[in-house]
Amino acid sequence: MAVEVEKVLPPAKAAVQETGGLQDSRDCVRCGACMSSCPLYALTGRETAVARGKLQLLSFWKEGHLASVDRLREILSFCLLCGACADKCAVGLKVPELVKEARARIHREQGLVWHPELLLARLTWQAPHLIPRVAPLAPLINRLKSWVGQDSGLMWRLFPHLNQALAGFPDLALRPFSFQAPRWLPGRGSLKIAFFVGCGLEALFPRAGMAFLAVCQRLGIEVIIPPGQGCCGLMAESVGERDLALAQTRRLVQQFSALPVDYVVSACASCAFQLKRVANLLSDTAEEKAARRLAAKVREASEFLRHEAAYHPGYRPAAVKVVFHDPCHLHRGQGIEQEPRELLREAKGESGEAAEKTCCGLGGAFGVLFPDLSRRLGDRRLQALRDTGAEVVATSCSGCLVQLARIKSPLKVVHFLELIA
Amino acid sequence: MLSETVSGEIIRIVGSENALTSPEERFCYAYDATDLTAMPDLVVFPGSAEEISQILELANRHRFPVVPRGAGTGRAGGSVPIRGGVVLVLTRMNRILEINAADLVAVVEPGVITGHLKKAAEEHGLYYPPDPGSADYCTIGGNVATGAGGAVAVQYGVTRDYVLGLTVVLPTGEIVDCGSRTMKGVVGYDLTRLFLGSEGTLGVIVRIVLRLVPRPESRQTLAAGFADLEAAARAVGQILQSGLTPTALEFMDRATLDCIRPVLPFPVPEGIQGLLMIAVDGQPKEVATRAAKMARLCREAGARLVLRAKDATEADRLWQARRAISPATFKVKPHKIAEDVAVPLSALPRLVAEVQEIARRRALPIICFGHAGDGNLHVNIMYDRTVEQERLAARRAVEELFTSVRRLCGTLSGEHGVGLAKAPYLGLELSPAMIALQRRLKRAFDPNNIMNPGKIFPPSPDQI
Repeated sequence: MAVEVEKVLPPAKAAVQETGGLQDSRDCVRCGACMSSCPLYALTGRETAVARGKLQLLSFWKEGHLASVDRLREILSFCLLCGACADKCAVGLKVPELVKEARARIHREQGLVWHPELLLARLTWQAPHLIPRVAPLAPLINRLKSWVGQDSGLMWRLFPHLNQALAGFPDLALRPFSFQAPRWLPGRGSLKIAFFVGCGLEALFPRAGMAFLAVCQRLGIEVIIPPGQGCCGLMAESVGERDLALAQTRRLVQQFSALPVDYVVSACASCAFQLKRVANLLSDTAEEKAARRLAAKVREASEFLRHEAAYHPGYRPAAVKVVFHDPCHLHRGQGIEQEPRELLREAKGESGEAAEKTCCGLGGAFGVLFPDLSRRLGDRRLQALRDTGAEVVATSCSGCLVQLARIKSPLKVVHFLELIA
Repeated sequence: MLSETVSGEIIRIVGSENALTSPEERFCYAYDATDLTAMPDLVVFPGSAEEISQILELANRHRFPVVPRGAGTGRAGGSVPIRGGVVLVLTRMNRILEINAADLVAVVEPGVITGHLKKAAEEHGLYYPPDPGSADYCTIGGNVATGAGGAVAVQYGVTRDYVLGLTVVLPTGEIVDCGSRTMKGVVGYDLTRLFLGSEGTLGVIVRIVLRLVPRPESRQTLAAGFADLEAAARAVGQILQSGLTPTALEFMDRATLDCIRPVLPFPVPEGIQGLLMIAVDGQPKEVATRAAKMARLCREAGARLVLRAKDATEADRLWQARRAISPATFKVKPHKIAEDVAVPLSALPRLVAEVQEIARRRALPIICFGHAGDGNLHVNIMYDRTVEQERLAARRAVEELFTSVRRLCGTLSGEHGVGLAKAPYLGLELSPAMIALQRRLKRAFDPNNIMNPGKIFPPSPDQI
């Protein structure tokens, strides 16, 4: 008699579970299983890199054993928030949520201290104003950026950190998404959506957004693109800028929750992840109900095209082999793995499959704070993707796109929507 | 407490990039997989036997404790620096030096992850059988130092049965080789065996010669559910006497099943009180016959449900679920006393019955699972440390368990080791003369008691 294997159900896609605060760090049973999957532990071999160390240290701090939080803050910033540890956690701790919560607590306690990741978060707050204003200067900025990010030379010696962060960074788009896209796309059917753009698509990858609109147009889906959209707030929340994240979330809820649409779609896996969590951030506030309404409508682009729009791209055989890189915020954060693969397979034929779904190594602010290690992780990831025999990497998160594109490799890196439109 | 000058000297030996001094970082090496914690004064990651030797010489001169540590996944507190001092983390020494298919031998450094070694052996068509539950993240050095076991011990034995030779840095600083790289070898005392399970009290293991075996061609996995717990325990004896040579024979009680139900690849009916998981290795055809016979045997012994994994992936998920048990037990209560007693095979049904009796008497949940095929049972006494009554009851339960085990001619620890957790109970198993002899042995190796002090031996005034 054979065993009937029940398929392990992926977590609910529309809603992302949240845990109740830092108390959970005490639930770590110290088994150490997280060591088997943490990419930073694999790289450094240090217990401070891995979830067990961080969670133990958090308990140690909360019991009042640490004189200052400075070192603890550094240790906590050394985390990609990729969630690979949570996959292995025997007691099911949602480690990335705990790390974010702890970062916010420390930030509150420490007050306003200069940290590069905080500047980054502030920049995202200004994104809706900044990007259109900067756009005319894009050619200049791009030249400046490639000069700072040169392989050798003076800039490397003067600012190795900045140089590493910027080398190979994708160019600012000469025409941001909002310059190209209409504010409203008329539909032919009953399906009506709002499109959340996000900083990455707006400033760096407008082609992906345009590709999505092209599909919607073909399918007769009505699309509203509210003007003056902000950042999803993930960066601010990740670095511990809780207040800023809350402000961003509130703005999103105001802008999107009352729209008369069936779905709110984002073509960036990380933005979609964060939008699905707005109600968790605003729990116990006046906006909670509206946030819940919005969260329930949020879909990531591949999820939307597959399940709500029943999209089947026509088969256009590719001369090159494509491999899909899973963003952590997509497969772990939202349980979405098959949707983009199915779309790619229909459009481009069989695609390659990397052995493991490891993080690209950007990890939000991690890529800026630890550019060297971030690059090494990116190198490994690209190598693994290359080993599949693929020549093109498709993915769906702006962060992964930045990371995989800024590292030198023969692989071409594109947003998957560009291949299936 | 380590003086700053001594600290500086140690750091100079390993290099400052391989030393941790901040309290935050040191704390991350204060614990293992138990709930015991003690802060080290310094944490270093040596890169060679020579560096370790120099550190140990310093330790003798300045009398500070040195505690070797692998991945910190021990279940007895063996690597917890209970008296402070220097924690010697061996994870940097993680090279697989040689896998020799002609000699059927692997030579490794102690920091190699056990799972990595198993994979490397597999690539050569070979097999390193010992498989502790933490194989994916524990180190082989830790396995040797604790004499780690695992599920396939029924057929293949434990770590001890695969160690042919060792290179050890003695507590006094000399670097010595013992054993050989041959299957046989009787020259001099068998000190290899002495270092096995010595829990870092006799020296630092820096190089390990391991025996490998040809990789079995196929493996089948069965699961058999019993409505009667003792029938399950009896079936274990019947299978072992049947001549069908199981590779692994795991036992889980009802409480265990409740913990891992969500990760089991098949539904387990409510009425099932005990589950056996059985693996059979060998040639594909012959394995199928043996597995079928075993399934029949289980049914005859009263199994209400007998399942056979249909492919390797399914079998893998079964064993993954088995490995998930130990941490999953914490769903029941926040704390546990995890004992890994072993009794002679025939005494297993008695032990299972007595554990149930203890659980009832002490009104504490006790989760029982383990390697029934070798008589090694994991008895997890679940309690809440913050509740005084439960804490006392848990301690009484441990004492009663050990008394039962000794009456059944068993041993207090099958594979975890003594460490700190079981040190107070050593006298229950070893006679005063034996403990005195072992203390003399320890003193002969380590006259200044610098190597992992406070472990194994019951706390006593003279401390050695």
